[in-house]
Amino acid sequence: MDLNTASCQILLALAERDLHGYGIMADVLERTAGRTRLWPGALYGSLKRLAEAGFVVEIDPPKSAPRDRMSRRFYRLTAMGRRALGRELAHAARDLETARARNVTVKD
Amino acid sequence: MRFYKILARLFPRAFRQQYEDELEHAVADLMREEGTKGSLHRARLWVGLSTDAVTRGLAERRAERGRTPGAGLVRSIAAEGRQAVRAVTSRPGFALTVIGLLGLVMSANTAVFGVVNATLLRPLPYANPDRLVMLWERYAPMQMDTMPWSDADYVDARAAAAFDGTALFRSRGLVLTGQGEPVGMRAAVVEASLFGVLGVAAERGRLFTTADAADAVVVLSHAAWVGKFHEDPGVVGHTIVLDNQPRTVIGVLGPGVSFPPPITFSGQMLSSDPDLYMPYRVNTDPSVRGSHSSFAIARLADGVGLAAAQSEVAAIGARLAAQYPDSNTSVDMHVEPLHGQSVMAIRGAL
Repeated sequence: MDLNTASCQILLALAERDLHGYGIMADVLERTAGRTRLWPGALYGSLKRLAEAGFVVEIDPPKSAPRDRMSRRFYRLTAMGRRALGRELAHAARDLETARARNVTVKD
Repeated sequence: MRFYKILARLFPRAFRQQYEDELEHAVADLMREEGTKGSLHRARLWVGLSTDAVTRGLAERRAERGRTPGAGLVRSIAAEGRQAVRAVTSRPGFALTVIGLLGLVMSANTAVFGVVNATLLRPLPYANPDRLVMLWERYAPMQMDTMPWSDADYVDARAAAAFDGTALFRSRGLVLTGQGEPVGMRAAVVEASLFGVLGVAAERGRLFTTADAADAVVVLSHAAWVGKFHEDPGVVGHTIVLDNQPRTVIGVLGPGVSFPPPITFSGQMLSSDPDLYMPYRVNTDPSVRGSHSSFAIARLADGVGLAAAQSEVAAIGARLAAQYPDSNTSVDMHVEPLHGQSVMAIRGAL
């Protein structure tokens, strides 16, 4: 399964900890300084495909979750998902090296 | 959230069964976390949510039919067209629903931006707009906080010293004929004092005076002058036919000047952005108090605050309730800042 930007961002959010949908949206928005916002339809469409590919799994809410989050679905990155993310980022890293070698200034 | 429930119907049934609660939780979280960052930000969120529901909803439907979204990037336009025709003819009900919702979403987005821009970002297009207030009657037994005025009650209320000027107005629809196809026109029927209260001037011709009240005259909005009269420089003095009555155009307002702004009353939105203005003849018969069908605006007198104005109209309301118990028992009066009323109307709509 090819990973698009939204899928990569979701896997990266889950690489740190298990999260529910809005937690993923908030992590991506904060980490990208507002550049990437995952809207709910895009988020759950991507999560559905990532779950079908075995890259994420639904889990019971952690006991530490606030009471108002106990009815939410939480997602966890699988080992296969972590490897797929690593492969995708390795491709990105190679592209980054190529860009630098070709005098592309890499900055925000 | 009711609006998002409608949007969510763009997603296929199986997807909704699996994720509808999650989508709604996420939208509720989003609104709780970010919906308090101002009306403009909230409007942007709704535009994003609408666009997301349309694009992802349709993509999920295509995916359910076995075509991965984004797969086969190079598809001929003809093939797409044939596919679209097959989809519409095989499931016309669904197609009509999607087309309707797309129209709704697009017009809602346009309306959100238009109205937010017009109402929240720009100041109201009147002189010292923060001194303008809406006057309302209230009938507590029916929980009508924003009841329109009866002319007779208004005549008593406008005598309050707290006001520099007041004006009564209402909306009306008319048909313009004699200019090609008949065209529906929205009119604001306004007391001659309105334009003075607002502090606006005519761009062409003149505005109403009290002497015009009985005459068949109209003032055009700038938008109507451009859109329906093709910026005719000779329009002032021209006779037009509205609802089969000839009326003389006496003036044209400047660009961007329009009244009333969006205002809600008793859960309804007052018609705004009229094409033209007509004079309102206030019925000064003090015995006719039962018919509440007009709206009132006022400009606070210099040095008078909202609380003082409120106190004075409340006293007038109490006096009328004692004087006319048949019509005015439990009827009182209040004043609200005009801009706040418009913002409330937009907040309600968003």
